Amino acid sequence: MRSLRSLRSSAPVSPQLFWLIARLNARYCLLNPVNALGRLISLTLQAAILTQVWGLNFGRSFAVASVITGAVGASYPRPLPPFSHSLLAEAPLNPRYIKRLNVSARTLLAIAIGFPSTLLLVAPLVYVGLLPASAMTIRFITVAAIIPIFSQQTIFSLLIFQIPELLIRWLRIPTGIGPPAHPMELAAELIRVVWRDCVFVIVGALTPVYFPLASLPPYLQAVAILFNPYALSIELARSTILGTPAPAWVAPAAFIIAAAWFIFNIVYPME
Amino acid sequence: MGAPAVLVKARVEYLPGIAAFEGSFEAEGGFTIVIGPNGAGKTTLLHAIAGILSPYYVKGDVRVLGANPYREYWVKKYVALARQEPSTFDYWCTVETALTLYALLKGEDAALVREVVEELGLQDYMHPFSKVGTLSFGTRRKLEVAKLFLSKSARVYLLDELIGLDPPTVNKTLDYLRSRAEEGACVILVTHDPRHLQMMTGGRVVVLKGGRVLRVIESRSELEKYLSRSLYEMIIVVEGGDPRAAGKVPGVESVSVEAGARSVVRVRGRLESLNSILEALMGSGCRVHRVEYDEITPLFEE
Repeated sequence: MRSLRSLRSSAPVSPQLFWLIARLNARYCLLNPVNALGRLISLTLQAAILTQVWGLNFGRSFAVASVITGAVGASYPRPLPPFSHSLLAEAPLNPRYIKRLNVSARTLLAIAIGFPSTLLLVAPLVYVGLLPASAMTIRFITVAAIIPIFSQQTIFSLLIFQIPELLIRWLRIPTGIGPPAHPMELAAELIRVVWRDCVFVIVGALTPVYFPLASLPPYLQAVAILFNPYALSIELARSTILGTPAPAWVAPAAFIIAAAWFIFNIVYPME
Repeated sequence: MGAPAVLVKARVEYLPGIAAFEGSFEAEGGFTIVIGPNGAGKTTLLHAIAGILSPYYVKGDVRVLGANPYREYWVKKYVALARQEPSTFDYWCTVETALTLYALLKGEDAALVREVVEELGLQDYMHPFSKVGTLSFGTRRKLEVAKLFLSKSARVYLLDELIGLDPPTVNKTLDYLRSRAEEGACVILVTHDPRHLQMMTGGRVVVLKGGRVLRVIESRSELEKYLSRSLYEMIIVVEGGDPRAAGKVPGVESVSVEAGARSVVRVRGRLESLNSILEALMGSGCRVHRVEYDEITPLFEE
Protein backbone atom coordinates (compact mmCIF):
# COMPACT_ATOMS: atom_id res chain seq x y z
CA MET A 1 0.00 0.00 0.00
CA ARG A 2 1.18 3.51 -0.75
CA SER A 3 1.82 5.93 2.07
CA LEU A 4 -0.85 8.30 3.31
CA ARG A 5 1.11 11.28 2.02
CA SER A 6 1.24 9.92 -1.52
CA LEU A 7 -2.46 9.09 -1.40
CA ARG A 8 -3.25 12.62 -0.34
CA SER A 9 -1.14 14.19 -3.06
CA SER A 10 -3.13 12.34 -5.71
CA ALA A 11 -6.56 13.34 -4.35
CA PRO A 12 -8.62 14.10 -7.41
CA VAL A 13 -10.07 17.36 -8.56
CA SER A 14 -11.18 16.23 -11.94
CA PRO A 15 -10.35 18.65 -14.76
CA GLN A 16 -13.48 17.42 -16.52
CA LEU A 17 -15.74 18.50 -13.70
CA PHE A 18 -16.29 22.05 -14.83
CA TRP A 19 -17.05 20.91 -18.35
CA LEU A 20 -19.50 18.38 -16.94
CA ILE A 21 -21.30 20.97 -14.83
CA ALA A 22 -21.70 23.23 -17.85
CA ARG A 23 -22.96 20.32 -19.95
CA LEU A 24 -25.49 19.23 -17.38
CA ASN A 25 -26.58 22.78 -16.71
CA ALA A 26 -27.19 23.34 -20.41
CA ARG A 27 -29.14 20.12 -20.57
CA TYR A 28 -31.51 21.01 -17.78
CA CYS A 29 -31.85 24.76 -18.24
CA LEU A 30 -35.05 26.60 -19.10
CA LEU A 31 -34.64 26.19 -22.86
CA ASN A 32 -37.07 23.35 -23.28
CA PRO A 33 -40.61 23.33 -24.74
CA VAL A 34 -42.42 22.69 -21.44
CA ASN A 35 -40.76 25.62 -19.73
CA ALA A 36 -41.35 27.85 -22.76
CA LEU A 37 -45.07 26.97 -22.91
CA GLY A 38 -45.42 27.45 -19.16
CA ARG A 39 -43.77 30.85 -19.43
CA LEU A 40 -46.11 31.90 -22.24
CA ILE A 41 -49.20 30.98 -20.19
CA SER A 42 -47.76 32.75 -17.17
CA LEU A 43 -47.03 35.90 -19.21
CA THR A 44 -50.57 35.96 -20.59
CA LEU A 45 -52.01 35.76 -17.08
CA GLN A 46 -49.70 38.48 -15.80
CA ALA A 47 -50.55 40.70 -18.76
CA ALA A 48 -54.27 40.25 -18.08
CA ILE A 49 -53.76 41.31 -14.44
CA LEU A 50 -51.60 44.31 -15.41
CA THR A 51 -54.21 45.38 -18.00
CA GLN A 52 -56.84 45.51 -15.26
CA VAL A 53 -54.61 47.24 -12.71
CA TRP A 54 -52.85 49.79 -14.90
CA GLY A 55 -55.52 50.33 -17.52
CA LEU A 56 -52.95 49.83 -20.30
CA ASN A 57 -53.79 47.90 -23.43
CA PHE A 58 -53.09 44.17 -23.37
CA GLY A 59 -50.11 44.44 -25.73
CA ARG A 60 -48.26 46.91 -23.59
CA SER A 61 -49.07 44.93 -20.42
CA PHE A 62 -47.66 41.85 -22.14
CA ALA A 63 -44.50 43.81 -22.92
CA VAL A 64 -44.11 44.78 -19.25
CA ALA A 65 -44.63 41.22 -18.09
CA SER A 66 -42.22 39.90 -20.73
CA VAL A 67 -39.40 42.18 -19.72
CA ILE A 68 -39.82 41.51 -16.03
CA THR A 69 -40.34 37.75 -16.10
CA GLY A 70 -38.06 37.22 -19.09
CA ALA A 71 -35.10 38.59 -17.23
CA VAL A 72 -36.06 36.88 -14.00
CA GLY A 73 -36.55 33.58 -15.82
CA ALA A 74 -33.00 33.66 -17.10
CA SER A 75 -31.81 33.29 -13.54
CA TYR A 76 -33.61 29.95 -13.13
CA PRO A 77 -31.43 27.29 -14.72
CA ARG A 78 -32.32 24.18 -12.74
CA PRO A 79 -29.78 23.44 -10.01
CA LEU A 80 -27.89 20.52 -11.50
CA PRO A 81 -30.24 17.58 -10.90
CA PRO A 82 -27.65 14.83 -11.47
CA PHE A 83 -25.61 16.12 -8.55
CA SER A 84 -27.76 14.59 -5.84
CA HIS A 85 -26.81 15.22 -2.24
CA SER A 86 -26.12 11.50 -1.84
CA LEU A 87 -23.67 11.47 -4.73
CA LEU A 88 -21.88 14.64 -3.65
CA ALA A 89 -21.58 13.26 -0.12
CA GLU A 90 -19.57 10.34 -1.51
CA ALA A 91 -17.35 12.47 -3.75
CA PRO A 92 -13.80 13.20 -2.62
CA LEU A 93 -14.30 16.91 -3.09
CA ASN A 94 -14.66 19.81 -0.75
CA PRO A 95 -18.44 20.39 -0.52
CA ARG A 96 -17.84 24.14 -0.56
CA TYR A 97 -15.66 23.84 -3.62
CA ILE A 98 -18.31 22.00 -5.58
CA LYS A 99 -20.98 24.47 -4.50
CA ARG A 100 -18.81 27.34 -5.68
CA LEU A 101 -18.29 25.64 -9.01
CA ASN A 102 -22.03 25.11 -9.19
CA VAL A 103 -22.80 28.77 -8.43
CA SER A 104 -20.18 30.01 -10.88
CA ALA A 105 -21.36 27.74 -13.69
CA ARG A 106 -24.98 28.73 -13.15
CA THR A 107 -24.10 32.40 -13.02
CA LEU A 108 -22.09 32.23 -16.24
CA LEU A 109 -24.90 30.34 -17.90
CA ALA A 110 -27.51 32.82 -16.65
CA ILE A 111 -25.43 35.74 -17.93
CA ALA A 112 -24.99 34.02 -21.28
CA ILE A 113 -28.76 33.54 -21.51
CA GLY A 114 -29.92 36.62 -19.58
CA PHE A 115 -28.50 39.47 -21.66
CA PRO A 116 -29.38 38.13 -25.11
CA SER A 117 -32.81 36.94 -24.00
CA THR A 118 -33.68 40.34 -22.51
CA LEU A 119 -32.41 42.03 -25.66
CA LEU A 120 -34.37 39.65 -27.87
CA LEU A 121 -37.50 40.37 -25.83
CA VAL A 122 -37.11 44.13 -25.82
CA ALA A 123 -36.06 44.75 -29.45
CA PRO A 124 -39.23 43.47 -31.18
CA LEU A 125 -41.44 45.10 -28.54
CA VAL A 126 -39.75 48.45 -29.24
CA TYR A 127 -40.03 47.84 -32.99
CA VAL A 128 -43.81 47.28 -32.86
CA GLY A 129 -44.24 50.25 -30.54
CA LEU A 130 -45.23 48.42 -27.37
CA LEU A 131 -42.13 49.74 -25.58
CA PRO A 132 -40.64 53.23 -25.85
CA ALA A 133 -37.35 53.61 -27.72
CA SER A 134 -35.65 54.46 -24.40
CA ALA A 135 -35.94 50.78 -23.46
CA MET A 136 -33.26 49.94 -26.04
CA THR A 137 -30.46 51.32 -23.88
CA ILE A 138 -27.60 49.34 -22.42
CA ARG A 139 -28.64 50.57 -18.97
CA PHE A 140 -32.16 49.21 -19.20
CA ILE A 141 -31.14 45.86 -20.69
CA THR A 142 -28.34 45.41 -18.18
CA VAL A 143 -30.34 46.26 -15.07
CA ALA A 144 -33.35 44.25 -16.18
CA ALA A 145 -31.16 41.19 -16.78
CA ILE A 146 -28.40 41.36 -14.19
CA ILE A 147 -30.13 41.84 -10.86
CA PRO A 148 -32.28 38.72 -10.83
CA ILE A 149 -29.41 36.63 -12.17
CA PHE A 150 -27.06 37.51 -9.35
CA SER A 151 -29.32 37.94 -6.42
CA GLN A 152 -32.46 35.82 -6.78
CA GLN A 153 -31.08 32.54 -5.46
CA THR A 154 -28.87 34.02 -2.80
CA ILE A 155 -31.27 36.43 -1.15
CA PHE A 156 -34.31 34.18 -1.34
CA SER A 157 -32.36 31.14 -0.21
CA LEU A 158 -30.99 33.07 2.75
CA LEU A 159 -34.29 34.64 3.69
CA ILE A 160 -36.65 31.77 3.14
CA PHE A 161 -34.68 28.57 3.78
CA GLN A 162 -31.41 29.20 5.57
CA ILE A 163 -32.52 31.45 8.41
CA PRO A 164 -35.34 29.19 9.69
CA GLU A 165 -33.09 26.10 9.41
CA LEU A 166 -30.39 27.84 11.45
CA LEU A 167 -33.03 28.78 14.01
CA ILE A 168 -34.37 25.20 14.18
CA ARG A 169 -30.87 23.80 14.60
CA TRP A 170 -29.96 26.40 17.19
CA LEU A 171 -33.05 25.46 19.19
CA ARG A 172 -31.97 21.76 18.94
CA ILE A 173 -35.33 20.79 17.51
CA PRO A 174 -35.04 17.29 16.02
CA THR A 175 -36.41 17.09 12.51
CA GLY A 176 -36.86 14.10 10.27
CA ILE A 177 -37.94 13.41 6.74
CA GLY A 178 -41.62 13.34 5.88
CA PRO A 179 -44.66 14.69 7.69
CA PRO A 180 -44.20 15.68 11.34
CA ALA A 181 -44.59 12.71 13.69
CA HIS A 182 -43.67 14.46 16.93
CA PRO A 183 -44.78 17.75 18.52
CA MET A 184 -41.24 19.11 18.16
CA GLU A 185 -41.21 18.32 14.46
CA LEU A 186 -44.55 20.05 14.20
CA ALA A 187 -43.04 23.09 15.91
CA ALA A 188 -40.17 23.10 13.40
CA GLU A 189 -42.61 22.87 10.50
CA LEU A 190 -44.64 25.74 11.96
CA ILE A 191 -41.51 27.88 12.21
CA ARG A 192 -40.76 27.19 8.55
CA VAL A 193 -44.31 27.92 7.35
CA VAL A 194 -44.80 31.09 9.37
CA TRP A 195 -41.35 32.40 8.45
CA ARG A 196 -41.78 31.65 4.75
CA ASP A 197 -45.24 33.22 4.57
CA CYS A 198 -44.16 36.35 6.43
CA VAL A 199 -41.13 36.80 4.17
CA PHE A 200 -43.23 36.27 1.05
CA VAL A 201 -45.79 38.82 2.19
CA ILE A 202 -43.14 41.41 3.09
CA VAL A 203 -41.15 40.92 -0.13
CA GLY A 204 -44.32 40.87 -2.21
CA ALA A 205 -45.59 44.07 -0.60
CA LEU A 206 -42.29 45.77 -1.37
CA THR A 207 -42.27 44.82 -5.07
CA PRO A 208 -42.82 48.00 -7.06
CA VAL A 209 -45.00 46.56 -9.80
CA TYR A 210 -48.08 48.61 -8.94
CA PHE A 211 -46.41 51.67 -7.38
CA PRO A 212 -43.11 53.54 -7.81
CA LEU A 213 -40.37 52.87 -5.27
CA ALA A 214 -40.25 56.59 -4.55
CA SER A 215 -43.73 56.43 -3.04
CA LEU A 216 -42.39 54.32 -0.15
CA PRO A 217 -40.80 55.88 2.97
CA PRO A 218 -36.97 55.94 2.65
CA TYR A 219 -36.34 53.10 5.13
CA LEU A 220 -38.79 50.84 3.28
CA GLN A 221 -37.12 51.73 -0.01
CA ALA A 222 -33.83 50.56 1.47
CA VAL A 223 -35.40 47.31 2.72
CA ALA A 224 -37.03 46.69 -0.66
CA ILE A 225 -33.81 47.29 -2.59
CA LEU A 226 -31.67 45.17 -0.29
CA PHE A 227 -33.97 42.21 0.25
CA ASN A 228 -36.13 42.09 -2.83
CA PRO A 229 -34.02 40.88 -5.74
CA TYR A 230 -36.55 42.17 -8.27
CA ALA A 231 -37.14 45.65 -6.86
CA LEU A 232 -34.68 47.64 -8.95
CA SER A 233 -35.22 45.88 -12.25
CA ILE A 234 -39.00 46.08 -11.87
CA GLU A 235 -38.78 49.75 -10.95
CA LEU A 236 -36.70 50.43 -14.04
CA ALA A 237 -38.97 48.36 -16.28
CA ARG A 238 -42.17 50.02 -15.15
CA SER A 239 -40.74 53.54 -15.29
CA THR A 240 -39.36 52.93 -18.79
CA ILE A 241 -42.57 51.41 -20.07
CA LEU A 242 -44.85 54.01 -18.49
CA GLY A 243 -42.55 56.79 -19.63
CA THR A 244 -41.90 58.14 -16.14
CA PRO A 245 -38.27 58.97 -15.33
CA ALA A 246 -36.45 56.50 -13.05
CA PRO A 247 -34.16 57.92 -10.35
CA ALA A 248 -30.56 58.35 -11.55
CA TRP A 249 -29.22 56.13 -8.76
CA VAL A 250 -31.09 53.01 -9.92
CA ALA A 251 -28.43 51.72 -12.32
CA PRO A 252 -25.36 52.25 -10.07
CA ALA A 253 -27.26 50.85 -7.09
CA ALA A 254 -28.20 47.81 -9.15
CA PHE A 255 -24.58 47.16 -10.03
CA ILE A 256 -23.34 47.60 -6.47
CA ILE A 257 -25.98 45.28 -5.02
CA ALA A 258 -25.50 42.71 -7.77
CA ALA A 259 -21.74 42.70 -7.25
CA ALA A 260 -22.12 42.39 -3.47
CA TRP A 261 -24.52 39.45 -3.68
CA PHE A 262 -22.43 37.77 -6.36
CA ILE A 263 -19.34 37.88 -4.16
CA PHE A 264 -21.37 36.65 -1.19
CA ASN A 265 -22.76 33.85 -3.34
CA ILE A 266 -19.33 32.68 -4.40
CA VAL A 267 -17.78 32.87 -0.94
CA TYR A 268 -20.76 31.39 0.94
CA PRO A 269 -22.77 29.33 -1.51
CA MET A 270 -26.10 28.46 0.02
CA GLU A 271 -27.58 25.46 -1.75
CA MET B 1 1.91 -2.25 13.70
CA GLY B 2 0.21 0.52 11.71
CA ALA B 3 -3.22 1.99 12.25
CA PRO B 4 -6.16 -0.10 11.07
CA ALA B 5 -7.71 0.73 7.70
CA VAL B 6 -10.96 1.60 9.44
CA LEU B 7 -11.31 2.74 13.02
CA VAL B 8 -14.54 3.98 14.59
CA LYS B 9 -14.80 5.13 18.19
CA ALA B 10 -17.96 7.14 18.17
CA ARG B 11 -21.56 7.59 19.14
CA VAL B 12 -24.01 8.32 16.34
CA GLU B 13 -27.31 9.97 17.19
CA TYR B 14 -30.01 10.84 14.71
CA LEU B 15 -32.36 11.86 17.49
CA PRO B 16 -31.08 13.46 20.70
CA GLY B 17 -30.41 10.84 23.37
CA ILE B 18 -30.93 7.79 21.15
CA ALA B 19 -27.72 6.12 19.91
CA ALA B 20 -27.98 4.44 16.51
CA PHE B 21 -24.41 3.22 17.00
CA GLU B 22 -22.11 3.46 19.98
CA GLY B 23 -18.74 1.90 20.63
CA SER B 24 -15.64 0.99 18.75
CA PHE B 25 -15.14 -0.90 15.51
CA GLU B 26 -11.98 -1.77 13.63
CA ALA B 27 -11.32 -3.40 10.28
CA GLU B 28 -8.08 -4.29 8.58
CA GLY B 29 -7.35 -5.32 5.01
CA GLY B 30 -9.37 -8.42 4.13
CA PHE B 31 -13.00 -9.39 4.46
CA THR B 32 -15.17 -8.31 7.39
CA ILE B 33 -18.84 -9.24 7.64
CA VAL B 34 -20.99 -7.10 9.92
CA ILE B 35 -24.12 -8.96 10.91
CA GLY B 36 -27.03 -8.08 13.13
CA PRO B 37 -30.81 -7.82 13.28
CA ASN B 38 -32.74 -4.91 11.78
CA GLY B 39 -31.99 -1.68 13.62
CA ALA B 40 -28.64 -2.94 14.92
CA GLY B 41 -26.78 0.08 13.52
CA LYS B 42 -25.08 -1.67 10.60
CA THR B 43 -26.00 0.89 7.94
CA THR B 44 -25.25 3.74 10.32
CA LEU B 45 -21.79 2.29 10.90
CA LEU B 46 -21.14 2.06 7.15
CA HIS B 47 -22.36 5.62 6.56
CA ALA B 48 -20.08 6.90 9.32
CA ILE B 49 -17.13 5.09 7.72
CA ALA B 50 -18.05 6.47 4.28
CA GLY B 51 -17.96 10.01 5.73
CA ILE B 52 -21.48 10.87 4.68
CA LEU B 53 -22.72 11.60 8.20
CA SER B 54 -21.87 15.07 9.43
CA PRO B 55 -20.28 15.68 12.83
CA TYR B 56 -23.72 16.92 13.87
CA TYR B 57 -24.69 13.23 14.13
CA VAL B 58 -21.30 11.60 14.78
CA LYS B 59 -19.69 12.34 18.14
CA GLY B 60 -16.26 10.82 18.46
CA ASP B 61 -13.55 9.69 16.11
CA VAL B 62 -13.85 8.02 12.73
CA ARG B 63 -10.65 7.20 10.83
CA VAL B 64 -10.34 5.71 7.38
CA LEU B 65 -6.76 5.17 6.18
CA GLY B 66 -5.79 7.45 9.04
CA ALA B 67 -7.99 10.36 7.96
CA ASN B 68 -11.38 11.63 9.07
CA PRO B 69 -13.54 10.87 6.04
CA TYR B 70 -15.91 13.79 6.62
CA ARG B 71 -13.38 16.56 7.22
CA GLU B 72 -10.52 15.16 5.12
CA TYR B 73 -12.77 14.54 2.14
CA TRP B 74 -9.89 13.54 -0.17
CA VAL B 75 -9.89 10.12 1.46
CA LYS B 76 -13.32 9.43 -0.04
CA LYS B 77 -11.58 8.65 -3.30
CA TYR B 78 -10.40 5.45 -1.63
CA VAL B 79 -13.78 4.53 -0.18
CA ALA B 80 -16.49 2.88 -2.29
CA LEU B 81 -19.98 2.51 -0.84
CA ALA B 82 -22.88 0.52 -2.27
CA ARG B 83 -25.92 1.71 -0.37
CA GLN B 84 -28.77 -0.52 0.72
CA GLU B 85 -31.31 2.07 -0.41
CA PRO B 86 -30.37 2.75 -4.05
CA SER B 87 -30.56 6.50 -3.72
CA THR B 88 -27.17 7.70 -4.92
CA PHE B 89 -28.30 8.90 -8.32
CA ASP B 90 -31.10 11.31 -9.07
CA TYR B 91 -34.12 9.72 -10.68
CA TRP B 92 -34.10 11.92 -13.78
CA CYS B 93 -30.43 11.29 -14.50
CA THR B 94 -29.71 8.79 -17.28
CA VAL B 95 -27.88 5.60 -16.37
CA GLU B 96 -24.92 6.49 -18.56
CA THR B 97 -24.62 9.98 -17.09
CA ALA B 98 -24.98 8.62 -13.56
CA LEU B 99 -22.21 6.07 -13.89
CA THR B 100 -19.91 8.39 -15.85
CA LEU B 101 -20.42 11.10 -13.27
CA TYR B 102 -19.60 8.70 -10.46
CA ALA B 103 -16.43 7.51 -12.22
CA LEU B 104 -15.28 11.10 -12.82
CA LEU B 105 -16.04 12.17 -9.27
CA LYS B 106 -13.96 9.27 -7.98
CA GLY B 107 -11.11 10.27 -10.28
CA GLU B 108 -11.47 7.17 -12.45
CA ASP B 109 -11.35 6.87 -16.22
CA ALA B 110 -14.81 7.35 -17.76
CA ALA B 111 -13.99 4.56 -20.24
CA LEU B 112 -14.26 2.16 -17.30
CA VAL B 113 -18.04 2.58 -17.38
CA ARG B 114 -18.44 0.50 -20.58
CA GLU B 115 -16.36 -2.28 -19.04
CA VAL B 116 -18.40 -2.38 -15.82
CA VAL B 117 -21.70 -2.13 -17.68
CA GLU B 118 -20.79 -5.18 -19.74
CA GLU B 119 -19.59 -7.08 -16.70
CA LEU B 120 -22.86 -6.51 -14.85
CA GLY B 121 -25.10 -6.90 -17.89
CA LEU B 122 -26.43 -3.34 -17.85
CA GLN B 123 -25.97 -2.70 -21.60
CA ASP B 124 -29.71 -2.36 -22.26
CA TYR B 125 -29.91 0.51 -19.80
CA MET B 126 -27.33 2.61 -21.63
CA HIS B 127 -30.05 3.90 -23.93
CA PRO B 128 -30.05 7.74 -23.99
CA PHE B 129 -33.62 7.83 -22.58
CA SER B 130 -33.04 5.23 -19.87
CA LYS B 131 -33.30 7.18 -16.62
CA VAL B 132 -32.53 5.93 -13.14
CA GLY B 133 -36.11 6.61 -11.97
CA THR B 134 -37.56 4.22 -14.53
CA LEU B 135 -35.51 1.25 -13.33
CA SER B 136 -36.72 -1.48 -10.99
CA PHE B 137 -35.43 -1.74 -7.44
CA GLY B 138 -33.16 -4.64 -8.40
CA THR B 139 -31.59 -2.78 -11.30
CA ARG B 140 -31.02 0.30 -9.17
CA ARG B 141 -29.31 -1.99 -6.65
CA LYS B 142 -27.12 -3.17 -9.51
CA LEU B 143 -26.18 0.46 -10.15
CA GLU B 144 -25.14 0.69 -6.51
CA VAL B 145 -22.95 -2.39 -6.91
CA ALA B 146 -21.55 -0.94 -10.14
CA LYS B 147 -20.13 1.85 -7.97
CA LEU B 148 -17.86 -0.73 -6.30
CA PHE B 149 -16.66 -2.00 -9.68
CA LEU B 150 -16.03 1.58 -10.87
CA SER B 151 -13.89 2.40 -7.83
CA LYS B 152 -10.69 0.74 -8.95
CA SER B 153 -8.56 2.95 -6.71
CA ALA B 154 -10.57 2.24 -3.57
CA ARG B 155 -8.89 0.74 -0.50
CA VAL B 156 -12.10 0.39 1.50
CA TYR B 157 -15.18 -1.26 -0.01
CA LEU B 158 -18.48 -1.01 1.83
CA LEU B 159 -21.39 -3.17 0.66
CA ASP B 160 -24.67 -2.70 2.46
CA GLU B 161 -26.72 -5.87 2.00
CA LEU B 162 -27.09 -8.18 -0.99
CA ILE B 163 -30.87 -7.80 -1.23
CA GLY B 164 -32.46 -7.22 -4.60
CA LEU B 165 -29.58 -8.74 -6.56
CA ASP B 166 -29.83 -11.84 -8.70
CA PRO B 167 -27.51 -14.78 -7.84
CA PRO B 168 -25.07 -14.18 -10.77
CA THR B 169 -24.63 -10.56 -9.68
CA VAL B 170 -24.15 -11.63 -6.06
CA ASN B 171 -21.47 -14.11 -7.15
CA LYS B 172 -19.71 -11.60 -9.41
CA THR B 173 -19.78 -8.97 -6.68
CA LEU B 174 -18.42 -11.29 -4.02
CA ASP B 175 -15.74 -12.65 -6.36
CA TYR B 176 -14.67 -9.10 -7.18
CA LEU B 177 -14.61 -8.09 -3.52
CA ARG B 178 -12.69 -11.23 -2.55
CA SER B 179 -10.07 -10.46 -5.18
CA ARG B 180 -9.79 -6.88 -3.90
CA ALA B 181 -9.51 -8.20 -0.32
CA GLU B 182 -6.71 -10.53 -1.39
CA GLU B 183 -4.90 -7.51 -2.81
CA GLY B 184 -5.05 -5.89 0.63
CA ALA B 185 -8.20 -3.81 0.39
CA CYS B 186 -10.54 -3.61 3.38
CA VAL B 187 -13.94 -5.04 2.44
CA ILE B 188 -16.88 -4.64 4.81
CA LEU B 189 -20.08 -6.51 3.96
CA VAL B 190 -23.17 -5.76 5.98
CA THR B 191 -25.98 -8.29 6.20
CA HIS B 192 -28.73 -9.45 8.52
CA ASP B 193 -28.92 -12.91 6.99
CA PRO B 194 -26.81 -15.61 8.76
CA ARG B 195 -26.78 -17.65 5.53
CA HIS B 196 -24.38 -15.12 4.02
CA LEU B 197 -21.81 -16.12 6.63
CA GLN B 198 -21.42 -19.44 4.82
CA MET B 199 -19.90 -17.54 1.89
CA MET B 200 -17.11 -16.37 4.12
CA THR B 201 -13.86 -18.21 3.68
CA GLY B 202 -11.71 -16.04 5.94
CA GLY B 203 -11.65 -12.73 7.75
CA ARG B 204 -13.77 -11.56 10.65
CA VAL B 205 -17.40 -11.40 11.63
CA VAL B 206 -18.68 -8.56 13.78
CA VAL B 207 -22.07 -9.02 15.41
CA LEU B 208 -24.00 -5.83 16.13
CA LYS B 209 -27.15 -5.40 18.17
CA GLY B 210 -28.86 -2.33 19.54
CA GLY B 211 -26.13 -0.06 18.15
CA ARG B 212 -23.33 -1.92 19.98
CA VAL B 213 -20.73 -4.47 19.00
CA LEU B 214 -21.93 -7.67 20.60
CA ARG B 215 -19.14 -9.98 19.54
CA VAL B 216 -16.13 -10.17 17.22
CA ILE B 217 -15.50 -13.58 15.67
CA GLU B 218 -11.99 -14.09 14.34
CA SER B 219 -11.85 -17.72 13.20
CA ARG B 220 -13.90 -20.23 11.27
CA SER B 221 -14.21 -22.59 14.25
CA GLU B 222 -15.42 -19.77 16.46
CA LEU B 223 -17.94 -18.86 13.79
CA GLU B 224 -19.21 -22.44 13.56
CA LYS B 225 -19.60 -22.50 17.32
CA TYR B 226 -21.47 -19.22 17.29
CA LEU B 227 -23.78 -20.25 14.47
CA SER B 228 -24.60 -23.49 16.22
CA ARG B 229 -26.45 -21.39 18.82
CA SER B 230 -29.08 -20.55 16.28
CA LEU B 231 -31.70 -23.25 15.82
CA TYR B 232 -34.55 -23.20 13.35
CA GLU B 233 -37.59 -25.38 13.07
CA MET B 234 -38.12 -26.24 9.40
CA ILE B 235 -41.36 -27.81 8.25
CA ILE B 236 -41.09 -29.55 4.90
CA VAL B 237 -44.07 -31.20 3.23
CA VAL B 238 -42.96 -34.02 0.92
CA GLU B 239 -44.49 -36.85 -1.08
CA GLY B 240 -42.90 -40.30 -1.59
CA GLY B 241 -39.23 -41.19 -1.08
CA ASP B 242 -37.56 -41.52 2.30
CA PRO B 243 -38.22 -38.42 4.46
CA ARG B 244 -35.77 -39.67 7.12
CA ALA B 245 -32.91 -38.87 4.73
CA ALA B 246 -33.02 -35.35 6.20
CA GLY B 247 -31.50 -36.71 9.43
CA LYS B 248 -28.19 -37.53 7.70
CA VAL B 249 -27.40 -33.91 6.90
CA PRO B 250 -24.76 -32.22 9.14
CA GLY B 251 -26.19 -29.50 11.36
CA VAL B 252 -29.56 -31.26 11.83
CA GLU B 253 -30.40 -31.89 15.47
CA SER B 254 -33.66 -33.82 15.20
CA VAL B 255 -36.13 -35.03 12.59
CA SER B 256 -39.71 -36.12 13.12
CA VAL B 257 -41.92 -37.41 10.36
CA GLU B 258 -45.72 -37.44 10.28
CA ALA B 259 -46.31 -40.06 7.63
CA GLY B 260 -49.24 -39.92 5.25
CA ALA B 261 -50.02 -39.37 1.58
CA ARG B 262 -47.94 -36.30 2.05
CA SER B 263 -45.46 -36.58 4.89
CA VAL B 264 -44.66 -33.64 7.14
CA VAL B 265 -40.97 -33.55 8.06
CA ARG B 266 -40.10 -31.40 11.09
CA VAL B 267 -36.40 -30.65 11.29
CA ARG B 268 -34.61 -28.79 14.06
CA GLY B 269 -31.27 -27.49 12.93
CA ARG B 270 -29.34 -24.63 11.40
CA LEU B 271 -30.91 -22.67 8.60
CA GLU B 272 -27.79 -22.99 6.45
CA SER B 273 -28.52 -26.72 6.32
CA LEU B 274 -31.83 -26.15 4.55
CA ASN B 275 -30.42 -26.47 1.02
CA SER B 276 -28.56 -29.66 1.95
CA ILE B 277 -31.70 -31.07 3.58
CA LEU B 278 -33.75 -30.39 0.46
CA GLU B 279 -31.05 -31.96 -1.71
CA ALA B 280 -30.97 -35.04 0.54
CA LEU B 281 -34.77 -35.35 0.45
CA MET B 282 -34.91 -35.01 -3.33
CA GLY B 283 -31.98 -37.42 -3.64
CA SER B 284 -34.02 -40.03 -1.73
CA GLY B 285 -36.91 -39.67 -4.16
CA CYS B 286 -39.08 -37.18 -2.20
CA ARG B 287 -41.10 -34.52 -4.04
CA VAL B 288 -40.98 -31.34 -1.99
CA HIS B 289 -44.28 -29.44 -1.84
CA ARG B 290 -43.83 -26.76 0.80
CA VAL B 291 -41.11 -25.39 3.06
CA GLU B 292 -41.57 -23.17 6.13
CA TYR B 293 -39.07 -22.20 8.77
CA ASP B 294 -39.00 -20.27 12.01
CA GLU B 295 -36.15 -19.32 14.34
CA ILE B 296 -36.61 -20.93 17.75
CA THR B 297 -33.28 -19.93 19.32
CA PRO B 298 -32.32 -16.38 18.28
CA LEU B 299 -28.79 -15.90 17.02
CA PHE B 300 -28.40 -12.30 18.08
CA GLU B 301 -28.64 -12.75 21.83
CA GLU B 302 -26.00 -11.78 24.37
